[in-house]
Parts: sequence; C-alpha cells; structure tokens
Amino acid sequence: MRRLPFDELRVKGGKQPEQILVGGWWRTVENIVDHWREAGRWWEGERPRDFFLVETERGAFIVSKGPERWRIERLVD
Amino acid sequence: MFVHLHVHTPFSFLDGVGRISELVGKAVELDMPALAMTDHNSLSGAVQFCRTCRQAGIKPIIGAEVTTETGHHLTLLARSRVGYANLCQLLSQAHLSNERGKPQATEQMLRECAEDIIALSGCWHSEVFSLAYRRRYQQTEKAIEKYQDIFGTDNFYIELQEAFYPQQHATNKGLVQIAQKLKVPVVATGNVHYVDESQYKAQDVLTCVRTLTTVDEPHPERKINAEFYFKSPQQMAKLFSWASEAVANTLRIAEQCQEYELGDDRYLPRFDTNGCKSTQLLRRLTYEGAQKRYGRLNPKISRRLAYELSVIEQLGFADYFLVVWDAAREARRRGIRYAGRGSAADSAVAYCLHITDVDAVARNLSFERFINPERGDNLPDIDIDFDARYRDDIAEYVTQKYGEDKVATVCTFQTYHARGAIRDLAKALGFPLEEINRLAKLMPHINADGIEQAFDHFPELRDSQLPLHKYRQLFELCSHAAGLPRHIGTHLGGVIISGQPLNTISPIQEAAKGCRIIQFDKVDVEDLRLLKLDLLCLRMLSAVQDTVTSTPKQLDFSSIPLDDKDTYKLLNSAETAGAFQLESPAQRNLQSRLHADNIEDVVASVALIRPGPIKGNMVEPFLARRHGKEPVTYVDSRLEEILKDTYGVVLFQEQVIEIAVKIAGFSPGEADQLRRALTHHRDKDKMQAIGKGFIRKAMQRGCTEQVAKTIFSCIEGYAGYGFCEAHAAAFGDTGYKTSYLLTHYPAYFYAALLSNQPMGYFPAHTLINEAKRRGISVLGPDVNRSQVSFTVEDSAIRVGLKQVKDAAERLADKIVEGQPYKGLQDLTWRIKPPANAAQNLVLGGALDCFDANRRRLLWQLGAHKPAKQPQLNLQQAAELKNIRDFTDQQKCCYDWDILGFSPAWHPLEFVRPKLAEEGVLTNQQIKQQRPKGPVKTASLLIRPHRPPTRSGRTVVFFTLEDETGLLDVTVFENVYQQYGKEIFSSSALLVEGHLTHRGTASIIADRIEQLS
Repeated sequence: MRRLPFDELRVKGGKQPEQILVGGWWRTVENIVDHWREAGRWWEGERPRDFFLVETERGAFIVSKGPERWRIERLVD
Repeated sequence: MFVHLHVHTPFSFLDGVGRISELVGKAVELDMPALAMTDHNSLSGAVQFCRTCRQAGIKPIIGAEVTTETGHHLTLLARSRVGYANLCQLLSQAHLSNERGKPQATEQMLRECAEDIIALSGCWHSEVFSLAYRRRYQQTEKAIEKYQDIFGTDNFYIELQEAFYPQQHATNKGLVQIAQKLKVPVVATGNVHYVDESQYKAQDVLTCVRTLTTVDEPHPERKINAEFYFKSPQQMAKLFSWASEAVANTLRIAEQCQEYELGDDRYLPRFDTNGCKSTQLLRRLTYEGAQKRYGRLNPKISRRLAYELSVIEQLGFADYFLVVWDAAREARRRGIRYAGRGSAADSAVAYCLHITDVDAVARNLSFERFINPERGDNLPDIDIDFDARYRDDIAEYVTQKYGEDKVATVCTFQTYHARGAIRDLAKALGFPLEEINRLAKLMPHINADGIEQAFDHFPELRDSQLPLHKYRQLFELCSHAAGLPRHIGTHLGGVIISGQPLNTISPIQEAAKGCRIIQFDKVDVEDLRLLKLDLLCLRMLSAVQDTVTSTPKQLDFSSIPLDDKDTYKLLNSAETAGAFQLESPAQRNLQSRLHADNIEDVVASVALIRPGPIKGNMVEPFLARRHGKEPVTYVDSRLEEILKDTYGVVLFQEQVIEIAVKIAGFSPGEADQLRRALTHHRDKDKMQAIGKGFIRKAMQRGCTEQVAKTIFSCIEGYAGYGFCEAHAAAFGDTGYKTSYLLTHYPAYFYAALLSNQPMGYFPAHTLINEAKRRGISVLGPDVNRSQVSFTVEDSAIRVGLKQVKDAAERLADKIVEGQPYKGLQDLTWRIKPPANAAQNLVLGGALDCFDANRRRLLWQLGAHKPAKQPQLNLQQAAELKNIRDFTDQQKCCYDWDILGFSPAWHPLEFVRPKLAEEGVLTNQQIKQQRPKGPVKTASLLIRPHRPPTRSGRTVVFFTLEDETGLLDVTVFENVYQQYGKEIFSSSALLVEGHLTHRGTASIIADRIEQLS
C-alpha cells in the first residue's frame, strides 16, 4: 500500500464512490470492499470522514469523503 | 421493533456518558418496550436504572459487560432474580480474585454462575468477534460451542454490531454464516455509550482520562467514530436489513427477561439472641438500660418506652436495634469514645440502650421523626460517631460478628464538578500542567456545566485575564461531564449488615483502603432495603479522649456540669476557636449576641447557624425574642407548649410534627409525612394541596380559617429550614462540653486538637495563635522532650515530633523511644533518619536543644554521614564556629514550611513596624476602636466563603489572623465585585473598612489589597 500525492487523483460519487480518475481516465468502482467512518482529530476542528476500500480495474484504492469533498487516501497495491 | 440490549450508562466509569434518565427517555421516545444496561463489570447503575425504567413504564433488563480471563468482553443479561444474583456473584468473584480494578471472570466462574443468564457474544473486543475478524473460523466455532456449553444453547446469542469499523461488516457476515451452520441465534446490538452523536467528544476525552492518555495519543480503547449513540429501531433495521432476525431477536430476549424487585425485607440481619425472641431481648435490655438511665420509671417514661417498643416490634426493627446496641456495647467495652447523633436521638429506646446520650423523654422529642409507624418501608437511620482512631476497629468487629460475606461498606460515586473536570479534561486535551493548576485553583466550587457563565459571575475569574476563547472547547466538554461519576469510592461510615450473603444482592469489590464495598451508594441501599449502620469517624471525639486522659485531674466528660458559669462566659465572649460546632465566625457572632446561659441556648444555636435558618431570617427574630425585645406571641394558645423553648420560632423539625398533631389532628405518622413533604417537595402545586389538607383539618379542630392559614404559612416557611432537634441536642451537648474543656483545660484541649488535625474550622496555626493569646506558651519540637503528638509540659504546649514534615509517625516513634540523645551525632548515628527528615528536624527547631544555631546544625548534618562515625578536622571545627545562624524571620519561614506554624513568631510580627507606619492597626487595636470608624488591618486570610444569603446577593465572609488574634470581615457584593480576585487568590490581605460592633467586633470591608 502506498500513499498517493493528494492532487493526482479525483473521485466522483454521491454517498458512495462511483468513479476514480486514474492516469487521466475515469475508472468505474467495481466493488466496495469495506466502508468505515472516522471522527478524525475533532479537537483540532477536523470533521468526520467516511472511508471506502474500493476496487477498480486499475487496482484497489482507499478513498474518503468528508463534509467538503472526496479524497484519495491510499493506493492498495 | 427493536430493544437495545447492550447499553453503557455512566456507571461504566469514564466510558458511558449518556445519563440513565436520558437513555430511558430516549427508549420511551422511540417506543421501545424494554431497555438493558450492561456496564463494564458493574451493576452500580442497576437500582437507579430499574427505578427510572419503572417510572417511565418500560421493562428494565439488568446486565453487565464482563471481562473474561483472556481480557475479552462478554455481554451477560439477567433473565430473572436468580440470574441477577448469579451476576452479582460472578462479578464479586471477578473483582475479589483479581488485582483491584482489574476484574476478570474465569471460565469456571462463568460455569458456576450461568443459571438464568442470557449471554451475547460481545463487542469488537469479544473472543468470538476477534477470532472471526482474524478469520480463524474453526476457533470461532469452538469458542461459540464453549459458550453454548456454559450458558445452554438457548441462552447464547452471537452479537452483531455495525459501527462502521474497518472490516466489521465483513466479519459480521462471516459470523452469520457460522451462526447458520451451528444453528446459533444472532442478535443486533448498538453498544450504546451515549444518547446522541454530540456526546461523542466527551466520551472520547473521558476515555483518554481513563487510559491516562491525551487526545493526540492513539489507544485501542478509544472509539474511532461517533457511531455508539442510541440508534432508533428504524436505523437498526436498516443497518441489519441483511440479517433481520438479529433485530427481531432483541424483542425475543427482552420478553424472556422477567421483571423483579431488587429490594427485599429478607435482607435484614437477625441478631443472635441465644434462643430467645429478639423482641424479648430488646425489651429486657431497654428496661435494664432505663433503670440505669432514669432509676425509677415514671408513667411518662414507661408509656414512651412501651410505645416505642411496640412500633419497633411491629415494623420488625428489633434485630436492627440489637445490632446497633451490640456495636455500641463493644465500643464501651473497649473504651472507645462514641456518640449517637441524628434522628436516632429522638428515641428513648436508643437512649436506654446507650446508643445515644440525648434523653428523648426529657426533651419531649418526637419519636416519629426517627421512625414513622405509618411508613414501615423506610428503614431507620442510626448514625454513631466514634473516636476516629478506632472507628475501623468497630467496623472490623461487626464484620467478624456477622460474617465477611454479610458485611460490606457502602460505596460513593465521585462525580465531576468544575475543578475536577477541568483538571482531568484539560490534561487529556494536552494543556500544560501549570496552566491546568492555575485554572483549577481559580475555579470556585461550582458545577462543571456552569464554568463559562461563572466567568461573568465571579470577579476572581472575570478579572483573572484568562484567554477565555482558548478554553471554550474544554469548558463545553466539562459541561458534558458535569455530574457524571468518575470512579467508585468508599463511604466514610456506611456499613451494610445483611441477613443474606451480600454477593447475591450486589457485586462486592475491594476498595482502595482495603475494605470490601458493595456497588451501591447510600441512596440505592435504601431502595434495596439493606440495613445501613453509619459508623462515622469524628476527630473531635479523639481530641476529647486525649484531653480527658491527659489532664492531671480525673475528668468524666459525660458528667461535665451543664451549668458552668465560666463556660457560658467563654461562649458569650465568642472566644471559642476550637469548640465543636461553635467556632465559626457566624457561631461566634451569634454567641456574643445570644448571651447563652443554659444548654438549650447552645442547642438552639447549633440549629440556628445553618444555611436554612439564615436564609429564612430566623436568627434575628430568635435573638429579639430571647432578649425580650420582641414579644413572644402565639396565634393559637396550643402552640405555646410546643414553641416556648424556642421563643415562638419554629426551629426544629420535631416542632412541625407536633404542630400538625396538636393543631390539625394529624397522626404522628401523617405529621412526619407532612414534614417530609414540606422539606423535600417544595413544588407549588404539592404545597398548595398539602396546605389545603392542613387548613381543613385544623378548622375541624376549632381553628378559624385565618389562624389555620397563618399557622400553615409559618410551618411552610420554616419546615424546609428546620433542623432535627435530636441532632442539635447531641451536637449542642458536645459543643458545650468542649467549650468547658476550652475554659478549664485550655492547654490540654488545644494540645489534643492539634494532635488530631485536620479537624474543625481553623487550621493549626490559628489554634497555636489562640493558645498563645490566652497566655499558653508553645514550645517547639524537641527530639529530647517532645512526644509523638502534642503534649502539655509545665502548662505549656509542646509540639509533637510527627508535626515535623516528612517525619512520619514511625520515625517520630523511634526518636521518642530512643530519648535522650547527647547530640546531633548521637541522634543521626542511632536513628539514621532519612536526609529530608533530618534536615526538617533541624529547620523545624527540633534539634535546637543541641545548638540554637540551626544553620550550623545543618552544616554538621551535611558533614555527618550516618553510616560511619563523623570526624571533623581542626579547620572544619574552626569554620563551624563562624557560621552565622538564620535570622528570626528566616526561622519563622522555615517553621511555617515544616510545621505549618511557628511556635515562636507570628509572620505579621516582622512587618508590624512597617505596617504601623502606614496606619495599619493590629486586630486587637481595631477591636478597641469606636464603631463605624474607618480602620485598616493586615493579616493572614482564613477561609473566605460565600454562604447562601436570603437576598440571593453574594456576601463573602472571612477571618483575619494576626499576632494579636482573630477579626472577622464581611464583604458585600459591590466590594466583592471589585476585589474578588484578591480575596480568593491571596494568603494575606490588607483590608480597609469600617468597624461594626454587632456582637463581636468585625469589619465591613471597603477596599482590599493583597499583602505581599
């Protein structure tokens, strides 16, 4: 598993991730393997985020959604 | 439909933050027919939980989340009263067979206590879930089969929780497959830790408090999200839409669990009467005691005893009285000083059994205030104070007599108030310790949910210039924690004696001080109908005992004459610092105005100086009538007999009962219920209903409506503030007698008070100062002459060696045993005191007998290693001669640091010349000034406090102490608003104000300055 540069990838979706922009191509999320929720560093003002472990044809990713936007956290090799 | 079966209340200490009333309220709101409580290894919330559920009309299910020997969690629910008893036994064993605070239930314990228990496999930390999580499915199956074997196949469920944890859902799916394979039912739970998500932060930070971490440090016991809230049936159904039977099974379990009572009369102990009936034995002992107390019994006494005994027998309390009589008898046999107090002193039987020393017949006290014959469900409460040093001996005697399995101490729950909450939560949030200390020390004694408002209200906070914005989050979290129990503690005196093994009624655990405690507090034990005996420590009784055994003349404390003129003279002079209950500024002021000349005045003064009477403005009318400045009138002549001793003022609760009986024709039992209602339920509608009943009945007995209304408004106004006369009589007696000791044996009494610190209103330095002011010399500690405690030596008080900081009692004992010593070398060689204790002995003056130059002694101490005989060369010996001693001022500072006072000097003496130049008078000089004149004083500050006032405005009272004595100061709201910070953050003050001679001389402050 390795961490990805923040701006390299993008995610589309509603409550759950649907597509991930990888290498300039939007990849469809084929399977949501796991979903969990973290409160984060609330004492520093951080808001809770939902995390998803998803599979696409280009590999597995951990993406998260907070109150403001989607974020890609990890690439799961 | 869904029922929460896994719920943590605040009695999962520092974990559950949803209050029981909130949790039950939520269950009702969500239409749940039942609710379970499952705290960690504890049933402490059970009584409150059952009471709240029943009031709300839902079924309570009592359970616990038990920690097993492998450290895993297991959820257990009691199906019936038998299951509850098994749960109690299981938790008792888990607590008592492991290190304190780390209970663990072994498989054997689970097997022994499995009857009528329903087990759920548990949460994320359970054995079953953690095995499945690691995909060790074979082991998971084995674990499930083990639990099925322990609890029975019908009584074990696989617990499923969906809290949005990583891999939790996948693991749950695996568990359901196993459940299907093994035909084990599944059940959905919410693992509720709070009512709504907004409480998550408080739960998280309290977990940090519990795990001694800060929020920045990860810990496996912290929850990663806010999903442990009280979810609705709809939310649970949605979460478990893929396993709907798990939701349905919650109802099935709830239906299987029975409703049962936790309290039971069979818990009362039986006294071993050697075959005769307990009622017969009680009668015999009472009449034997009556002969000793009264000699010949007159008809009034006989009637009273017969009545009390019949009520005691009828309500089944004979054994209770015998148990208490036996404890008191044992104390007498061992020569342990004790005194019964509280409403028990309303009983003539208790007096005859030597449980109390107040003659209820002579005082005409109402027995119904103690035992209400019409409320047999209320167990009487008997409190006995013992010489503090030997109270545990009596508790041990009781334990041995009734069996370790049937005796335990009541617990207490330490709850969060402002200071404690700030200390704990700020630490968990990572604030620096210095900042936490500063903030906590500034905080007045207020609730934790009023901190932010307190910054507007209290000038010491407002003017502290603290950056409030920095603490907003902290204060918000504190308000969430307000009133939550932090940990379980030990009640100071409450001992439970049961007729049945206690571990079937409550889990038993070991307390920090080594005794065994039940998991219920004093309120809960009343509901459980457990017999509580309050065996309390009273250091004043230790001081009395020390005084009577040290005076050269044989002194019988109980026979001290109650009409000693010199004692009343002392009381009237208000120089009562040290007297029991009569030494506070308010009491001293009252004494100087009351001019007490009989014991009844003293008893009344004990009752008068309480928040209630002060708020109810009872003091002034009482004084005016006492001195004939206001006529004593009665709206009904029948009141005269009841109120004549208190000059027509309703001062005592017993008087309320008598008025209701005489005027309205209430039965004594009804009258006590009226008294209780007036005291406890002061809501307007209830009061009106009670009042109507009283007025109607009074009119039927010949009162006019107007008179009946006047009488009721009088008792209504005073009943809430009234004091139990029996208690006042017991305390008044001790108060008067200790004043007698202060009058006739001041050196012995002060020495005894000082030996038994901390106690009373004033600190040791004030008592030393008062003793000196009364002409008693105070001699410093001396390794060759001091005893362990304070003693009287040629009419002077000699400071005891245990007063020296770091000289523990054992070291002091060793020094006293080895007396005399030839010099420093001899002492250090023979005693080998620890370095800090030796240094403190020097600095505190205990070695002045060898050399008055303390600095030289210190130097020598450094040169002398106790391991070998010291040897000084000539040059060192010459240097020693030239060492200059500390100045007197330095010595005084060291004395205060090491002894808590200075036997030789008062700190104010050193600044007196400078103060005099600035026009600052001594306290003694001020007392001689003319009233209303402007004065200026500078003194040590003692006990600033803000008692409740009638007007609701803040008035601060404190005492100033200088080398000439004490002076009381009153600070009214406007001055307090200006100088609150100085008052509550200084140890010495310069006060400008004007003198008042209302009773004792005191100052009304106008301007206050910190004395640097």
